[in-house]
Amino acid sequence: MNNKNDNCAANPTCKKYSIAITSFVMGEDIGMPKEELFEHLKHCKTCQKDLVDWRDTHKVMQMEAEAKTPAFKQNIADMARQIKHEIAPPMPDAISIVKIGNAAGTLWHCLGENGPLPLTALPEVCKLDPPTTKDALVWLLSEKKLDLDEKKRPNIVSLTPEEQNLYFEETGKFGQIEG
Amino acid sequence: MPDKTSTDEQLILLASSGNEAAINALLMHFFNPLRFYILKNKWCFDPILIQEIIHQTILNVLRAIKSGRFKPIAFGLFKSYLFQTCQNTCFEILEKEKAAPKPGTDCFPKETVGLPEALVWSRDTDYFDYDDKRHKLAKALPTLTVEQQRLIELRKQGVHYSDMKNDPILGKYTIDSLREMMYIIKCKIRNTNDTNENE
Repeated sequence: MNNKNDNCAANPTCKKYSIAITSFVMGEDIGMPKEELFEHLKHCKTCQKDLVDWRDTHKVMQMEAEAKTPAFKQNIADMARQIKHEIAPPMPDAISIVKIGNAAGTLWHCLGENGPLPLTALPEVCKLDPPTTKDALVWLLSEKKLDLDEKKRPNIVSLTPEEQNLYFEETGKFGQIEG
Repeated sequence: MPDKTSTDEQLILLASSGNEAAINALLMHFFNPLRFYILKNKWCFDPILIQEIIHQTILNVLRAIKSGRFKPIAFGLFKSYLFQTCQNTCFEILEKEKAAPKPGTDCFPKETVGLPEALVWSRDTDYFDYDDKRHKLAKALPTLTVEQQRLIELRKQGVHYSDMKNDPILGKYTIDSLREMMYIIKCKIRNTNDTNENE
Protein backbone atom coordinates (compact mmCIF):
# COMPACT_ATOMS: atom_id res chain seq x y z
CA MET A 1 0.00 0.00 0.00
CA ASN A 2 1.60 3.22 -1.16
CA ASN A 3 1.07 6.58 0.47
CA LYS A 4 2.73 9.98 0.26
CA ASN A 5 5.45 8.90 2.70
CA ASP A 6 6.63 6.21 0.29
CA ASN A 7 8.10 8.68 -2.16
CA CYS A 8 10.74 11.24 -1.35
CA ALA A 9 12.26 12.06 -4.71
CA ALA A 10 11.91 15.67 -5.84
CA ASN A 11 10.78 14.67 -9.34
CA PRO A 12 10.14 11.43 -11.30
CA THR A 13 13.58 11.55 -12.96
CA CYS A 14 15.26 11.67 -9.59
CA LYS A 15 13.34 8.66 -8.27
CA LYS A 16 15.52 6.09 -10.08
CA TYR A 17 18.66 7.87 -8.87
CA SER A 18 17.28 8.06 -5.34
CA ILE A 19 16.75 4.27 -5.44
CA ALA A 20 20.31 3.85 -6.73
CA ILE A 21 21.66 6.13 -3.96
CA THR A 22 19.87 3.99 -1.36
CA SER A 23 21.68 0.89 -2.65
CA PHE A 24 25.00 2.69 -3.21
CA VAL A 25 25.26 3.80 0.43
CA MET A 26 24.52 0.26 1.59
CA GLY A 27 27.16 -1.26 -0.64
CA GLU A 28 24.58 -3.03 -2.83
CA ASP A 29 24.47 -3.28 -6.62
CA ILE A 30 22.84 -0.02 -7.72
CA GLY A 31 21.15 -1.37 -10.84
CA MET A 32 22.75 1.15 -13.21
CA PRO A 33 26.30 2.08 -14.23
CA LYS A 34 28.00 3.97 -11.39
CA GLU A 35 29.18 6.62 -13.86
CA GLU A 36 25.56 7.46 -14.68
CA LEU A 37 24.73 8.02 -11.00
CA PHE A 38 27.87 10.06 -10.38
CA GLU A 39 27.22 12.22 -13.43
CA HIS A 40 23.68 12.93 -12.21
CA LEU A 41 24.98 13.71 -8.70
CA LYS A 42 27.38 16.32 -10.07
CA HIS A 43 24.46 18.46 -11.20
CA CYS A 44 21.56 17.56 -8.89
CA LYS A 45 21.70 19.28 -5.51
CA THR A 46 18.58 17.42 -4.30
CA CYS A 47 20.21 14.06 -4.90
CA GLN A 48 23.44 15.25 -3.24
CA LYS A 49 21.37 16.12 -0.18
CA ASP A 50 19.65 12.74 -0.46
CA LEU A 51 23.05 11.00 -0.49
CA VAL A 52 24.29 12.86 2.61
CA ASP A 53 21.07 12.30 4.50
CA TRP A 54 20.79 8.59 3.74
CA ARG A 55 24.51 7.97 4.35
CA ASP A 56 24.17 9.54 7.81
CA THR A 57 20.92 7.73 8.59
CA HIS A 58 22.46 4.44 7.52
CA LYS A 59 25.54 5.08 9.69
CA VAL A 60 23.37 5.91 12.70
CA MET A 61 21.35 2.74 12.08
CA GLN A 62 24.56 0.68 12.06
CA MET A 63 25.89 2.37 15.21
CA GLU A 64 22.61 1.91 17.07
CA ALA A 65 22.62 -1.80 16.19
CA GLU A 66 26.25 -2.08 17.34
CA ALA A 67 25.44 -0.31 20.63
CA LYS A 68 23.17 -3.22 21.58
CA THR A 69 25.92 -5.86 21.27
CA PRO A 70 27.62 -7.26 24.41
CA ALA A 71 31.05 -6.44 22.93
CA PHE A 72 30.15 -2.74 22.69
CA LYS A 73 28.79 -2.67 26.25
CA GLN A 74 31.91 -4.41 27.54
CA ASN A 75 34.12 -1.92 25.72
CA ILE A 76 32.23 0.99 27.29
CA ALA A 77 32.42 -0.61 30.74
CA ASP A 78 36.21 -1.03 30.38
CA MET A 79 36.58 2.56 29.27
CA ALA A 80 34.44 3.81 32.19
CA ARG A 81 36.59 1.86 34.67
CA GLN A 82 39.76 3.31 33.19
CA ILE A 83 38.38 6.88 33.24
CA LYS A 84 37.26 6.41 36.85
CA HIS A 85 40.80 5.45 37.90
CA GLU A 86 42.24 8.38 36.00
CA ILE A 87 39.84 10.87 37.62
CA ALA A 88 39.97 9.50 41.13
CA PRO A 89 42.96 7.22 41.73
CA PRO A 90 42.06 4.43 44.18
CA MET A 91 43.17 4.81 47.81
CA PRO A 92 46.10 2.59 48.72
CA ASP A 93 45.15 -0.21 51.13
CA ALA A 94 48.11 0.58 53.41
CA ILE A 95 50.51 3.46 54.06
CA SER A 96 53.96 3.36 55.63
CA ILE A 97 54.73 6.16 58.09
CA VAL A 98 58.40 5.22 57.99
CA LYS A 99 58.43 5.53 54.19
CA ILE A 100 56.73 8.95 54.30
CA GLY A 101 59.05 10.07 57.12
CA ASN A 102 62.10 9.02 55.14
CA ALA A 103 60.74 10.78 52.04
CA ALA A 104 60.17 13.93 54.13
CA GLY A 105 63.83 13.75 55.21
CA THR A 106 64.97 13.32 51.59
CA LEU A 107 62.81 16.25 50.51
CA TRP A 108 64.13 18.46 53.37
CA HIS A 109 67.74 17.72 52.35
CA CYS A 110 66.94 18.18 48.68
CA LEU A 111 65.40 21.63 49.29
CA GLY A 112 68.29 22.58 51.59
CA GLU A 113 70.77 21.58 48.93
CA ASN A 114 69.00 23.11 45.90
CA GLY A 115 67.14 26.04 47.41
CA PRO A 116 63.62 27.06 46.25
CA LEU A 117 62.17 24.68 43.65
CA PRO A 118 59.00 24.61 41.53
CA LEU A 119 56.45 22.17 42.89
CA THR A 120 56.31 20.21 39.64
CA ALA A 121 60.09 19.71 39.58
CA LEU A 122 60.30 18.16 43.05
CA PRO A 123 59.83 14.48 42.11
CA GLU A 124 62.54 14.65 39.45
CA VAL A 125 65.09 16.73 41.39
CA CYS A 126 64.58 14.87 44.68
CA LYS A 127 64.24 11.46 42.99
CA LEU A 128 60.91 10.59 44.63
CA ASP A 129 57.73 9.34 42.99
CA PRO A 130 54.93 11.98 42.78
CA PRO A 131 52.51 10.45 45.35
CA THR A 132 55.31 10.04 47.92
CA THR A 133 56.52 13.59 47.20
CA LYS A 134 53.00 14.83 47.91
CA ASP A 135 52.86 12.92 51.21
CA ALA A 136 56.29 14.23 52.21
CA LEU A 137 55.27 17.81 51.33
CA VAL A 138 52.17 17.58 53.51
CA TRP A 139 54.32 16.21 56.35
CA LEU A 140 56.84 19.07 56.15
CA LEU A 141 54.16 21.74 55.63
CA SER A 142 52.26 20.54 58.70
CA GLU A 143 55.48 20.82 60.72
CA LYS A 144 55.92 24.39 59.38
CA LYS A 145 59.30 23.57 57.86
CA LEU A 146 58.41 24.83 54.37
CA ASP A 147 57.42 28.09 52.67
CA LEU A 148 55.06 27.87 49.72
CA ASP A 149 54.79 30.72 47.20
CA GLU A 150 51.22 30.24 45.98
CA LYS A 151 51.26 33.32 43.76
CA LYS A 152 53.51 31.63 41.23
CA ARG A 153 52.55 28.87 38.80
CA PRO A 154 53.82 26.29 39.46
CA ASN A 155 54.05 27.07 43.18
CA ILE A 156 57.58 27.52 44.51
CA VAL A 157 58.60 25.48 47.55
CA SER A 158 61.51 26.28 49.85
CA LEU A 159 62.66 25.59 53.40
CA THR A 160 61.77 28.32 55.90
CA PRO A 161 64.80 30.56 56.69
CA GLU A 162 65.19 28.82 60.08
CA GLU A 163 65.19 25.37 58.48
CA GLN A 164 67.59 26.53 55.77
CA ASN A 165 70.00 27.75 58.47
CA LEU A 166 69.56 24.45 60.29
CA TYR A 167 70.47 22.64 57.06
CA PHE A 168 73.63 24.76 56.71
CA GLU A 169 74.59 24.10 60.31
CA GLU A 170 74.02 20.36 59.95
CA THR A 171 75.89 19.96 56.70
CA GLY A 172 78.46 22.70 57.09
CA LYS A 173 77.57 24.05 53.65
CA PHE A 174 77.50 27.82 54.02
CA GLY A 175 76.97 30.55 51.47
CA GLN A 176 75.94 28.34 48.59
CA ILE A 177 72.42 29.67 48.37
CA GLU A 178 71.95 33.39 47.98
CA GLY A 179 69.09 35.29 49.64
CA MET B 1 23.45 2.44 39.04
CA PRO B 2 22.46 6.09 39.48
CA ASP B 3 18.82 6.70 40.41
CA LYS B 4 16.57 6.76 37.33
CA THR B 5 15.15 10.09 38.39
CA SER B 6 18.55 11.75 38.53
CA THR B 7 18.78 14.57 36.05
CA ASP B 8 21.41 14.85 33.38
CA GLU B 9 23.20 17.53 35.40
CA GLN B 10 23.38 15.27 38.43
CA LEU B 11 24.68 12.47 36.25
CA ILE B 12 27.46 14.72 34.93
CA LEU B 13 28.41 15.85 38.43
CA LEU B 14 28.40 12.25 39.67
CA ALA B 15 30.60 11.22 36.75
CA SER B 16 33.06 14.03 37.45
CA SER B 17 33.40 12.81 41.02
CA GLY B 18 34.54 9.42 39.69
CA ASN B 19 31.29 7.41 39.95
CA GLU B 20 31.83 4.48 37.58
CA ALA B 21 28.13 3.85 36.86
CA ALA B 22 27.63 7.52 35.97
CA ILE B 23 30.69 7.52 33.70
CA ASN B 24 29.36 4.36 32.06
CA ALA B 25 25.94 5.96 31.50
CA LEU B 26 27.59 9.07 30.08
CA LEU B 27 29.72 7.00 27.71
CA MET B 28 26.72 4.91 26.60
CA HIS B 29 24.93 8.17 25.75
CA PHE B 30 27.77 10.00 24.04
CA PHE B 31 30.16 7.42 22.58
CA ASN B 32 28.29 7.01 19.29
CA PRO B 33 27.37 10.69 18.80
CA LEU B 34 31.04 11.63 19.32
CA ARG B 35 32.19 8.85 16.97
CA PHE B 36 29.66 10.00 14.39
CA TYR B 37 30.84 13.62 14.78
CA ILE B 38 34.48 12.65 14.19
CA LEU B 39 33.64 10.38 11.26
CA LYS B 40 31.28 12.82 9.61
CA ASN B 41 33.83 15.60 9.78
CA LYS B 42 36.36 13.14 8.31
CA TRP B 43 38.95 14.02 10.95
CA CYS B 44 39.86 10.41 11.60
CA PHE B 45 38.88 6.97 10.34
CA ASP B 46 41.04 4.76 12.56
CA PRO B 47 38.70 3.07 15.11
CA ILE B 48 41.46 2.71 17.73
CA LEU B 49 42.43 6.36 17.43
CA ILE B 50 38.77 7.41 17.55
CA GLN B 51 38.31 5.46 20.76
CA GLU B 52 41.39 7.16 22.23
CA ILE B 53 40.04 10.58 21.23
CA ILE B 54 36.67 9.88 22.89
CA HIS B 55 38.37 8.54 26.03
CA GLN B 56 40.54 11.65 26.30
CA THR B 57 37.59 13.96 25.53
CA ILE B 58 35.45 12.56 28.35
CA LEU B 59 38.43 12.63 30.69
CA ASN B 60 39.23 16.27 29.83
CA VAL B 61 35.62 17.36 30.30
CA LEU B 62 35.19 15.55 33.62
CA ARG B 63 38.50 16.96 34.89
CA ALA B 64 37.41 20.46 33.86
CA ILE B 65 34.19 20.04 35.84
CA LYS B 66 36.02 18.57 38.82
CA SER B 67 38.52 21.42 38.94
CA GLY B 68 35.75 24.02 38.58
CA ARG B 69 36.99 25.33 35.22
CA PHE B 70 33.63 24.43 33.69
CA LYS B 71 30.23 24.45 35.38
CA PRO B 72 27.59 22.29 33.64
CA ILE B 73 24.64 24.49 34.60
CA ALA B 74 22.59 23.15 31.67
CA PHE B 75 22.71 19.93 29.67
CA GLY B 76 22.80 21.84 26.37
CA LEU B 77 25.81 23.79 27.57
CA PHE B 78 27.50 20.56 28.58
CA LYS B 79 26.86 19.07 25.14
CA SER B 80 28.32 22.02 23.30
CA TYR B 81 31.36 22.03 25.63
CA LEU B 82 31.78 18.28 25.13
CA PHE B 83 31.74 18.47 21.34
CA GLN B 84 34.07 21.48 21.26
CA THR B 85 36.46 19.61 23.57
CA CYS B 86 36.16 16.62 21.26
CA GLN B 87 37.26 18.73 18.31
CA ASN B 88 40.23 20.18 20.23
CA THR B 89 41.27 16.81 21.62
CA CYS B 90 40.94 15.25 18.20
CA PHE B 91 43.37 17.71 16.64
CA GLU B 92 45.78 17.45 19.58
CA ILE B 93 45.93 13.67 19.29
CA LEU B 94 46.10 13.69 15.50
CA GLU B 95 48.90 16.27 15.67
CA LYS B 96 50.83 13.96 17.99
CA GLU B 97 50.17 11.04 15.66
CA LYS B 98 51.14 13.22 12.68
CA ALA B 99 47.80 12.34 11.16
CA ALA B 100 46.03 15.72 11.20
CA PRO B 101 43.87 16.14 8.10
CA LYS B 102 45.03 18.77 5.63
CA PRO B 103 42.77 20.80 3.35
CA GLY B 104 42.06 19.37 -0.07
CA THR B 105 42.01 15.74 -0.99
CA ASP B 106 43.85 14.73 2.19
CA CYS B 107 40.48 15.08 3.89
CA PHE B 108 39.31 11.96 2.12
CA PRO B 109 40.63 8.46 2.09
CA LYS B 110 42.23 7.78 -1.30
CA GLU B 111 39.45 5.52 -2.47
CA THR B 112 36.78 8.23 -2.13
CA VAL B 113 38.49 10.84 -4.32
CA GLY B 114 36.40 11.31 -7.44
CA LEU B 115 33.39 9.62 -5.84
CA PRO B 116 30.25 11.48 -4.70
CA GLU B 117 31.72 11.47 -1.19
CA ALA B 118 34.00 14.33 -2.22
CA LEU B 119 31.10 16.23 -3.79
CA VAL B 120 28.93 16.25 -0.72
CA TRP B 121 31.47 16.80 2.02
CA SER B 122 30.52 19.67 4.28
CA ARG B 123 32.44 21.32 7.11
CA ASP B 124 29.41 22.53 9.01
CA THR B 125 28.50 19.31 10.73
CA ASP B 126 26.01 19.84 13.50
CA TYR B 127 26.57 17.77 16.62
CA PHE B 128 22.81 17.34 17.02
CA ASP B 129 22.75 15.30 13.80
CA TYR B 130 23.16 11.95 15.53
CA ASP B 131 20.36 12.48 18.03
CA ASP B 132 18.02 13.85 15.36
CA LYS B 133 18.58 10.79 13.20
CA ARG B 134 18.30 8.44 16.16
CA HIS B 135 14.93 9.89 17.17
CA LYS B 136 13.65 9.74 13.60
CA LEU B 137 14.67 6.07 13.36
CA ALA B 138 13.09 5.25 16.70
CA LYS B 139 9.82 6.76 15.49
CA ALA B 140 9.86 5.36 11.97
CA LEU B 141 11.02 1.76 12.47
CA PRO B 142 7.95 0.54 14.40
CA THR B 143 5.69 1.83 11.60
CA LEU B 144 7.31 -0.40 8.95
CA THR B 145 5.65 -3.51 7.57
CA VAL B 146 6.85 -7.00 8.55
CA GLU B 147 8.73 -7.34 5.24
CA GLN B 148 10.37 -3.94 5.63
CA GLN B 149 11.44 -4.69 9.19
CA ARG B 150 12.86 -8.03 8.05
CA LEU B 151 14.81 -6.26 5.31
CA ILE B 152 16.32 -3.84 7.83
CA GLU B 153 17.13 -6.73 10.17
CA LEU B 154 18.94 -8.70 7.45
CA ARG B 155 20.82 -5.63 6.24
CA LYS B 156 22.01 -4.95 9.81
CA GLN B 157 23.46 -8.47 9.76
CA GLY B 158 25.24 -7.58 6.51
CA VAL B 159 23.14 -9.85 4.26
CA HIS B 160 23.09 -8.67 0.65
CA TYR B 161 19.92 -8.55 -1.48
CA SER B 162 21.23 -11.38 -3.65
CA ASP B 163 21.53 -13.66 -0.58
CA MET B 164 17.93 -13.13 0.56
CA LYS B 165 16.50 -15.68 -1.87
CA ASN B 166 16.13 -18.35 0.82
CA ASP B 167 14.60 -16.09 3.42
CA PRO B 168 11.03 -17.20 4.34
CA ILE B 169 9.71 -13.63 4.29
CA LEU B 170 11.77 -11.92 1.60
CA GLY B 171 12.55 -14.93 -0.65
CA LYS B 172 9.69 -14.12 -3.03
CA TYR B 173 11.02 -10.64 -3.85
CA THR B 174 13.35 -9.86 -6.74
CA ILE B 175 16.45 -7.74 -6.20
CA ASP B 176 14.72 -4.83 -7.91
CA SER B 177 11.74 -5.04 -5.54
CA LEU B 178 14.09 -5.21 -2.56
CA ARG B 179 15.83 -2.07 -3.81
CA GLU B 180 12.46 -0.37 -4.15
CA MET B 181 11.44 -1.57 -0.68
CA MET B 182 14.59 -0.08 0.84
CA TYR B 183 13.87 3.16 -0.99
CA ILE B 184 10.40 3.23 0.55
CA ILE B 185 11.92 2.64 3.99
CA LYS B 186 14.30 5.53 3.39
CA CYS B 187 11.40 7.79 2.43
CA LYS B 188 9.39 6.73 5.48
CA ILE B 189 12.30 7.56 7.78
CA ARG B 190 12.92 10.88 6.07
CA ASN B 191 9.27 11.90 6.15
CA THR B 192 8.89 11.06 9.81
CA ASN B 193 8.22 14.16 11.86
CA ASP B 194 11.08 14.61 14.25
CA THR B 195 9.99 16.07 17.52
CA ASN B 196 12.83 15.52 19.91
CA GLU B 197 11.53 15.98 23.41
CA ASN B 198 14.96 15.72 25.03
CA GLU B 199 16.52 18.75 23.40
